Amino acid sequence: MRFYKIKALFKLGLEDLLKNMNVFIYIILPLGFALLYSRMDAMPKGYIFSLCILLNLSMVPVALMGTIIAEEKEKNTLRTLILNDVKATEILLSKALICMLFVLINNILIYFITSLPINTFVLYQLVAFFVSCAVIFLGAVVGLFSKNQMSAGLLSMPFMLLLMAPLFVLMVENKVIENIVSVLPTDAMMEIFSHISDSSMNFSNVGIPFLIITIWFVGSIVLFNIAYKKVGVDN
Amino acid sequence: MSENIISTDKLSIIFGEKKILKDITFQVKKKEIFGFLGPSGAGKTTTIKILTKQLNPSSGSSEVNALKDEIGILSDNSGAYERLTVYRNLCFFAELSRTDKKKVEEILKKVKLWEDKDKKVKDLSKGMKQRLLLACAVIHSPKLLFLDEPTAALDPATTEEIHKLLLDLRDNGTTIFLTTHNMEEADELCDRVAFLNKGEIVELGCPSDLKLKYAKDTVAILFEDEMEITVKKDMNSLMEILKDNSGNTIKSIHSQEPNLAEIFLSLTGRELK
Repeated sequence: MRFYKIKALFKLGLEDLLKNMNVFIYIILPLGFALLYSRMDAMPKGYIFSLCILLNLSMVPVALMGTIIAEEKEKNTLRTLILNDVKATEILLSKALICMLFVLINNILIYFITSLPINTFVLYQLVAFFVSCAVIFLGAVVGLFSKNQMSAGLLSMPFMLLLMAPLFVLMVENKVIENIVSVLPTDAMMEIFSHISDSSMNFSNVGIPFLIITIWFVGSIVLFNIAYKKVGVDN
Repeated sequence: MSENIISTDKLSIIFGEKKILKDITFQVKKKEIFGFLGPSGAGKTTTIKILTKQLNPSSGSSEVNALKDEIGILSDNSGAYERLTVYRNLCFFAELSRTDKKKVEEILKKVKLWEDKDKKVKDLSKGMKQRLLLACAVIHSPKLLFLDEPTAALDPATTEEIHKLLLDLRDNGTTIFLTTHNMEEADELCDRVAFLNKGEIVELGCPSDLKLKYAKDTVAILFEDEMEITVKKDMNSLMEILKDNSGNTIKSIHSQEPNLAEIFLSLTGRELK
């Protein structure tokens, strides 16, 4: 991998993304929700933070990552890059870095919008960042299988719903669904958040959630590798 | 050191049950424009895809004596970033190849896009976009340039500008592998051409040599009084005609050479479309 190529791809990708309102909405939406909910006194700040982070982690690393890869295919720029001595891994890494940048910015902004205490800032951010690292590979898988932006939107939908499931599980009383949700990385993240919030975080109560996130992290890398070998970056 | 930049040996590719390329063998010399001529579906683009490692051949081999960063490609599915300007797009390709940004201005002037450098790609005409894509393909001064139908569906003025640029590139040491079904383009640009028909090379050579090879065995003599006589190329026949028309002044004598399209037609029975 060549750093100067990744740097050029990153700069151009960022510039292009900021001019693309169709996908920029994925970045703005979690912030909009944070601003809206933070004005509602009835909702606890910790809950608003978790909800908006969940939305952010479902939208930016999955839908945004999938869509920007798919757009490169749709507009033939991906093939042009590969034919111009750019490796697929360099393209994917630059896209992942762009998405991670926005995930990080959003996570920080959501934290301050929801006015959580500053002493827990680093812990919250580290956990959210760890989960987004796991989820970004799912976004890359969506991008690999999508031929255009529309199919990326459709393909990312089940992943987004799955990652947001911890929010909906409260509305349904079904043991099977609850069990499924309990092994999701976002549910594990919510559990860790609740322990950070009530200052009860210790190895015995966050060990399992961290293990779940780690399994998802490894699993999504494996899934990405299988998908990459099967379809390549430009099938 | 070999004077060939591309060599293929009995290159074949099969898609399903259809053999798209059938044992094609050819060499491309350094610093020449090599035209790969054939009608749609003859296997031209497939050949480029094999040479640029986008496809693996079913059998045979190919060798390209240029590193990946010494190759430029313009294909029918090349693309540019439409929301960004012409200048930004070219700067990006310059950054990718670590080319001095001063060259961006030079290339944009050569492809006549300097005045439009601040236009977004989505606002460009088809001809302007094609010139930009060509600029992106040559910004790093490639040793070898693959062009797949670079002037297809372009207006004559844009085509002329692209031709000038290609000749300029060749004169500065770039080898160009050009696929086209436009025989006038091949005639104007190419040092050598290969005729590809149904996956087979049916003829290969310098356009002028091919024209001589397939020239008719006759010459046309045009007299001052507009009378035209076609006569065999041998001296006796010529002398006989001249004797018979001794009172008439000769205006011109033409050897009857075919153009590349006519040669292709005579070889394959198909037109270059």
